[in-house]
Amino acid sequence: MVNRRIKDWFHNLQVQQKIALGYGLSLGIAIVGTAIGILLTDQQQRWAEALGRDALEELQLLTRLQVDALEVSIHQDNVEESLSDPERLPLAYVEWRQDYNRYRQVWQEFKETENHTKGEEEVESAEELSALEMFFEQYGNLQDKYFQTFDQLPPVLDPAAFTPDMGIRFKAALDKLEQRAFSQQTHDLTHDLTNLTALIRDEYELAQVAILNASTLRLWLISFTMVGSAAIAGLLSILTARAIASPIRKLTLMTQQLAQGNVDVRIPMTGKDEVGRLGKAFNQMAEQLAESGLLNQQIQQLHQTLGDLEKNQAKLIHAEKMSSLGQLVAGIAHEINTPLGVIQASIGNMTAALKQSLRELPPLLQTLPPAQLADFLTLLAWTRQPQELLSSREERQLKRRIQQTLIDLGLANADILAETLSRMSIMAPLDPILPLLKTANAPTLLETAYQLAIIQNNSQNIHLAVGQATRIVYALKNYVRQDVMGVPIYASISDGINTVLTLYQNQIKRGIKIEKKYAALPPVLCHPEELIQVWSNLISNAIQAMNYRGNLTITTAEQAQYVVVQITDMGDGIPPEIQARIFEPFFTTKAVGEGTGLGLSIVKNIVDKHHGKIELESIPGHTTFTVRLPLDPASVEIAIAEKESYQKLG
Amino acid sequence: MLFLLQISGMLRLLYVLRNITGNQCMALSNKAIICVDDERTVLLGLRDQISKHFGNQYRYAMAESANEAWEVIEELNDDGVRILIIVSDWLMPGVRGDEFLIQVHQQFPEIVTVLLTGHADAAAIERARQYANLHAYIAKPWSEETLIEVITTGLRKFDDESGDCLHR
Repeated sequence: MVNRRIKDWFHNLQVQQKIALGYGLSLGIAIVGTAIGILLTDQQQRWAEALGRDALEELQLLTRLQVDALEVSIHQDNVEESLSDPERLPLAYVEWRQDYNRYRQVWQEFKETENHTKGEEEVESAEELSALEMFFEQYGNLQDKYFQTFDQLPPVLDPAAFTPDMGIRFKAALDKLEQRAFSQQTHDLTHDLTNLTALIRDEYELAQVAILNASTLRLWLISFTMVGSAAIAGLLSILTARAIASPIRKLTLMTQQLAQGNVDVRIPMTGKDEVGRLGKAFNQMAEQLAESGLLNQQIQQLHQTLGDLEKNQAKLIHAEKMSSLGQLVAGIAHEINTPLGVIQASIGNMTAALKQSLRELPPLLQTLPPAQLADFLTLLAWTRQPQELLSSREERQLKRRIQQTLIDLGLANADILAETLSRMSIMAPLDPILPLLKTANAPTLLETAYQLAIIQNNSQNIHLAVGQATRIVYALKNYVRQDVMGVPIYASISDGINTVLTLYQNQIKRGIKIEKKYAALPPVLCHPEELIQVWSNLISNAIQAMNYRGNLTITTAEQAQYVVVQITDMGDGIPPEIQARIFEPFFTTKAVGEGTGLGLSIVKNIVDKHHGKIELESIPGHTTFTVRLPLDPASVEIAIAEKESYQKLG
Repeated sequence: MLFLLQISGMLRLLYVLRNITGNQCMALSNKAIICVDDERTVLLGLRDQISKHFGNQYRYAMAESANEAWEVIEELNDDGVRILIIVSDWLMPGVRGDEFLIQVHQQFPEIVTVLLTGHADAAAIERARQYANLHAYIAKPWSEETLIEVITTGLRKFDDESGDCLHR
């Protein structure tokens, strides 16, 4: 945890800081190590020096004490010898006294020094201290008594004043001094002092050794810290070099790779120092390079797609055509099924009628009286005449008219005769066959004639149904046909529109009322099957906009070398906000799967190809698409070319 | 020889006439079958198919739209003719087949309804079944057998009242 924090901290340092840190650390260790070495050994040396100094002082004192004690002892002996010679006595006494005073002073000094050093255990060895203590115990009192006795001695300064009495007293005092055993003990004292001196010399030597030791330790400590700091400095310099040099080496390598075109290289650097920032900048550059590379790639792909689209435009237009055809197919199938059903029914009817006619007609013809036969043949001739197919309403009106006529004539079976005659679509005045109708078996005769009319009617019915089916198939063929040659031909605009209306018949029938306002137009040089696709899209949209109920108005007109086709529906209209977009490819308001979204885009495309224009005008309940096509596209083409070249020159 | 031939011809004519007149009334029936389709050719085909099978037992009325069908129904009602079956196309301009049959059923519940459809619009058929008591629906292109069978089974509903054309 802490280790990691330190690592992070180091990671985030600037290169400059890292270097400074390295130098600072190694120098710091060297300085601190040396300082510690000096401080540590300095104290020890000072102690050792104090010890030595102390020992020296003591030695000096002891030596003086020894010397003075010997001198006092000698001069005392001199005084004792001089007692008999008063002339020499004062001199000896003065010398003795001088020595005594000096000795006492040195003793005092020694005593004070030893008392003084008692509190300083650090400079005195325990052995020395106990030796000194014993020494003072042994000789301290003795000395004091000696000093007291000496002070009681009468001073002998003037030889003249010296009397034998004085000599006796002096001798007594000297004896007393002797009794104090100083003299005998002086030897012991000197011996003991020598011992003490040896002890203190040992101590001095010890101090000398300590001083040597301290300086050696200092040397060791300093050299050790020097070596340690040198090692750390070396280590740090290696680390720093690695921290700085290795990313730079990596960066160099990556840059080379990038230069070779590998835009995916990224440097795994997160540090916040200069090298880390450099790495980040490199990564950004690589990313931008990659992006621009990607962009170039996408642009190339788009170019290719556009090229493909342009190449496949014809295919696309055809595919859209087929797609809308797919939605029409069910209706178209029904529209073909109807005439097929009619044909089937009519064939059955004709076969049955033929059978019946063949059975009934020969005997009838043979047995009919000549006058009636003529009338009958007239009736048959009427049924054979090509007639227009009456609507059911017209047929009912015809039946009522005939029935009324027959009733007026007072004929029996007027209703049944009128029924049969109206079914046979007999429109001609009935006068020629009245005698026949007046006969009692008129209904039977008419029925036989009707069987022949059935054959006639049903064959006409088949004819009509075939025409109907053919028309649809023809429209389909026109719709599906692909312009293989790509060469425009002269074609009728209204034929194209009618083709589409035929195909959409099934949808129109559900509740659309078509209002055609066609003007007489000259044929237009165009690609007819492409224009059929235009009308198909516009009409289909109109029908769906009205939800299969309402009026669809189709107007054609000629205006100033242009054919104008307007298709108007009563749907909800196109909102103004999307009017501008409806010609865009793939724009659709229908649910997914209900349209390709290409319809109007293709319409615009085809109209443009014909150098025409398409406009939209829409309010709720009234939407009009206006298509303007030049009667002669070639002249428009030339005009456009001229205009373009003029603009270029200008 | 010629005389014999004329005799035999006369006899055959008499036979034929008896055959024709023997099994049908010499007047229009007072029962009607109505066909409704916007295609005139389909109507003609249907009428000839039906009349071929049922002869003069019924009247056969045609209408090209629901509106016209209502006119026909009115005319037949005025003439005192009873409507037994209506066969209607489904997809027609204006009122669709199912709507028309539902309206008919509301006014004349006894009329048998048949739908003739090119598009098998399941929803429309279901509506007609539910609200028009649809007897059957026939898909286009239709076969004569199917048509006749549907009408025959529809007519069975009126069996107990048949045969009154002679007592008109």
